[in-house]
Amino acid sequence: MDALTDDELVARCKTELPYNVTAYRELLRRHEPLVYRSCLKMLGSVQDAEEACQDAFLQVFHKIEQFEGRSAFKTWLYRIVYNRCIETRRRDARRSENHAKLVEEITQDEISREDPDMQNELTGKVHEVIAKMSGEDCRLVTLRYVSGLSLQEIADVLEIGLSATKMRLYRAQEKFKEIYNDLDTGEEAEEG
Amino acid sequence: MISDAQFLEQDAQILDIFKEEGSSLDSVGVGSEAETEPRDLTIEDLRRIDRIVQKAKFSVVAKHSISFLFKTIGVGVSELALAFIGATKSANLTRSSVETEEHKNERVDNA
Repeated sequence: MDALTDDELVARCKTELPYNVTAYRELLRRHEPLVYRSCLKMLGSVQDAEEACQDAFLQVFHKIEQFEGRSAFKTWLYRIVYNRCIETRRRDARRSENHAKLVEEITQDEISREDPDMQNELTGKVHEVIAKMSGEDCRLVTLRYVSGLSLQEIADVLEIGLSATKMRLYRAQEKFKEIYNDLDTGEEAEEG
Repeated sequence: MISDAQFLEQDAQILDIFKEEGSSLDSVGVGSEAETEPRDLTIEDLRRIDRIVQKAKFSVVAKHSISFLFKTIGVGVSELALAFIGATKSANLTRSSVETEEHKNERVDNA
């Protein structure tokens, strides 16, 4: 299985699912950890990230037959993930602030109990900056620097042109730097 | 218009920030077209993968069970309808034969 490319695994999934999940499991093994970490950055909550990641891969499971291979599997997967994260953010925006705080508290408890590695993912300075960015900027920065997608792949995920993607990403980068530097200045002022 | 050099410079700066904090990919260079290599999976990664596989399998079973249930209900309803139609028809036939019999008897009586 290790030697097979994503396209070959997808072809096997098309013929073998739902009876044999070996190829599907290999696709999960290759992509799930990074997709999960990307969701974590885009959504900022373990619970939402796990839910979004699960839903995205369930969609892959049920719709892989419809995947025509016009784009790379990775691009198709991240398009699903990207749309799923937008839906979650919209749903969360409708929740009350108090409820969101409660969820955050529960989530933080879960992180410290379950997975110490995840603590860094949600408490670092980079996470703090991403959390302060607008939805679109946050997703673009995550796709580029956490998911590791190229500019062309991001353009394919967003279904927009390469120059428009470059422009949007550049603005998101500027926003990232601005917030990052503000945090630095704030920390220095506190120390002083 | 942003030049490639401007973009790449800023791109490299931010990538460095992510790398410093370990939030970026280590094994695959950002922007490379290479296939994603599987990283070392943690126990938590494996647990999540297992949960997804189990959920996917369960969703198939649930889907089949629901379609089986609806098919069974559908067959049951159609058989009930047929039985009802059959019963109505036979009741009508019996009634009409009884009425014919009565009519005959009346004619005999009148004669």
